[in-house]
Amino acid sequence: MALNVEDKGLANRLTALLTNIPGLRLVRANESPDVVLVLSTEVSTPADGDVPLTPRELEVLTLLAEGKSNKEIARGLGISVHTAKFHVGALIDKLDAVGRTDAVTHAARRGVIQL
Amino acid sequence: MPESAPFARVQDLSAAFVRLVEITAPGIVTVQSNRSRSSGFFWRPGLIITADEALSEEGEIAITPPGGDPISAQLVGRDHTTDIALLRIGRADAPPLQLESPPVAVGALAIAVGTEDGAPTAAFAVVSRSAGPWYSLRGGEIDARIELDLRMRRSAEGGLAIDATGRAIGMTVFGPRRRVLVIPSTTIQRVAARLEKYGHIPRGYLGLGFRLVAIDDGGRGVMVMNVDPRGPGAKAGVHQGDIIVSWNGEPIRHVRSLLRALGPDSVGQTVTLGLRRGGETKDVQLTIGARPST
Repeated sequence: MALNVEDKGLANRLTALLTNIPGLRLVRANESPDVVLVLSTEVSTPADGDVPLTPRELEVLTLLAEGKSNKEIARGLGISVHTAKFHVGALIDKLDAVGRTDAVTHAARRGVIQL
Repeated sequence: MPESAPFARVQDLSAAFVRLVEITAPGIVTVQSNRSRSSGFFWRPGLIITADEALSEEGEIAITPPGGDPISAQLVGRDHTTDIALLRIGRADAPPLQLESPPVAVGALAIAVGTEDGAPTAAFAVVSRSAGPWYSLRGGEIDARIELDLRMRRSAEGGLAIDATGRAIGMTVFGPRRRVLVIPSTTIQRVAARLEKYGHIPRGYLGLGFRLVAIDDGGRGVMVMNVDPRGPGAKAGVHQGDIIVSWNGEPIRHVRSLLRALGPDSVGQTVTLGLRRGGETKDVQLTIGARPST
């Protein structure tokens, strides 16, 4: 496997941690890995004035903005309708709490809306 | 009894509310679906309206009329964008309730009538907000924003909001943080009539994936990120990477305006899209399709 982590300290710590695990080997510079570990920085960088959302909430938001039903959202994300309903409710409350009820505008700034 | 005189008006008010529930309750039914119980009301003979959000996605549906036994009901259609679902039962003896759209003033008193196990429930409210048309998060067009200051039991969702003169002003549903919203009569009539006729609410479809972009020389547009090869966009010759800057000559500033242009009446209409492709401008004619159900 290979690491793609910008933070040098964190990269060193992860390397130390992963070096002694049986069956796992960090690749050399010229080898191609089976798995790459990437540190996602997207969660913590909302655009100006946007509500911070988790990646899952963003997925739900996009589907919501496309006018999808809870059932369609559940199918699209491979989760139960109950879970989809929960995510939708939490998202609506979150947007409402900061007075932003326009799901489409949010979603279109951050992702691709299928129309 | 002279002591009771100062309370006479309160008693009158109380009696008036009892009367409001009495005249409404015969039209309100209990709606039971898989693990969910809510309220509904007779809209037309044999047809019942309830809240889509409270209705299960699958399984049997039964309704219990006031004081009666449960009857099996069929789903005619449901629209999650306006939270309206239409059910049919095999008998038409119950009198439908008259829906009305009087002006609703903030501060006016209202009562929310629902049912539980076939018996009426009521909650007393003040109209806390009354504003113009709005769009739900899923893009449904709702004719007025009416909110009630009230704590409503779950089973009353899908019941009716009644004003002080006994007029049914709309269906009570839950909004953000369990605030009680009223889906106004006008919206119910429009959507339910379509559900009765077609079984669903058609929505326009372009078969294109969009992202909002700023254009270098100012202004905004939506960039086509992907194209459904069998969709209307592909047929019209829209390519991945095109930026749509106008819709029938009107500049596009938000993806929202596209979504609103794809309402139930848009299917089959032909529109002119103004494109930017590799710095050149180009117009294409696109015939809006119907969104496939997924």
